[in-house]
Amino acid sequence: MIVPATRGPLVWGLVLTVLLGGLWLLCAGPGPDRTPAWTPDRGTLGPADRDALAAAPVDRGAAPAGPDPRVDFTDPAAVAAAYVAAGYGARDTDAGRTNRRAVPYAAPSTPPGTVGVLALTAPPPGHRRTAVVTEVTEGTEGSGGPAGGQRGYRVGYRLVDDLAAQRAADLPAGERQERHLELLRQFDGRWLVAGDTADGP
Amino acid sequence: MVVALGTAALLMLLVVVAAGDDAGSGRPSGVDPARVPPLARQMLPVIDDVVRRQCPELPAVWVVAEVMAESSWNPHAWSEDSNGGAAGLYQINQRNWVAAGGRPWASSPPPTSADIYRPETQLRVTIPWVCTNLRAVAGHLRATGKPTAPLDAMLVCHIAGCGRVTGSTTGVPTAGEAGCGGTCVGLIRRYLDHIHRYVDRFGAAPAAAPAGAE
Repeated sequence: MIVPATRGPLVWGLVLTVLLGGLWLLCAGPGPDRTPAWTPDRGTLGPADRDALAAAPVDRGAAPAGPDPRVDFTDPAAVAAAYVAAGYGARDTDAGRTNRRAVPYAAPSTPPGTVGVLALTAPPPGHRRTAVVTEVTEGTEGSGGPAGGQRGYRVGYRLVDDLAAQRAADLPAGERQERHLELLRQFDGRWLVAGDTADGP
Repeated sequence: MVVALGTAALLMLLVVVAAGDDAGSGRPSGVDPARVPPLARQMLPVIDDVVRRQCPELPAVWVVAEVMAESSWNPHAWSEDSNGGAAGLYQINQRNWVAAGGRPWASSPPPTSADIYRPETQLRVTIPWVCTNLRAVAGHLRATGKPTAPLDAMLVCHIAGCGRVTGSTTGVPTAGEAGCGGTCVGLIRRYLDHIHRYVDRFGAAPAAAPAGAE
């Protein structure tokens, strides 16, 4: 091949580029694919182990009836309170099931919306446990997100096993508990719960 | 002159490629992609997306580690057991799968075309389920003052049932607690130990602090 003298430096530059690039690839490898081959091993527990553990499965709770019509969805604090009251109150039928009564207050495609709340304990047959919300406090971590469409709330509540009896006899309610909720404003102006944790951020 | 331009172009190419490599290394997830099984590496963007948007308190490396302990990242893993069998990456039984929002199985074991065997579907359904368990037991631990770390209690919940968390003194049962005998206690311990080891193995080293950072 005859290369005109005036193009010689250009050709040499390209050759040098290719050589250095090849050298770099040889030294550094192509990136993610340089991992050594993976040899799968067995899972930690076998079927007999799972039988020995006998983990109790959880069933999906009944579909929610719908939101409390008194709740103003443009008021995030009201939605937060309604969510905790619905999600953390419990019925005897909640044993071994998820509680989905708070789903109407939860954002779609979030754990509170797709799964609900996992009821770890249920009241005895014939009883109902009420979550009495005692305070709703807006957190300083809230109000972020696009156009302030995100709010954080700390919701304090107490569990009462028999609300009517408790009120009639002025019995003390259970220990104060709290949940930290993240609410997101939806395109239609409603506030819905997207995150629900035991500890604040 | 032209040689200099060619060399400069090469240097720019190297910088661009190296930056792209860093961006794809998965560092934000806390997972070292070079150390995880190929399918886990492939699913890291999915895991990152789900935990970042839906469950920021669940580290991605714990997802990778728990799936490793459950199925060795075999998406078609199937175990016969007394709960009707456990399927897929997270080895989840049908009742939990449905509780998580998954579709009921057409048969048991599910047909190979079932969505529970699709890695992305399995992760997008099961991570929020695991997160719901985590949030429930975290509240229980906080309310009762039990010393177990919420992530460990989440594992107990998944492998042995949440009753083993609520029914034990610490959140992890000892022999005789929460219907758990010596074998049960040993299996839970083994499960936790394995996952802790996987977390260590798969975790990315912490990024170096920028100059001037405390």
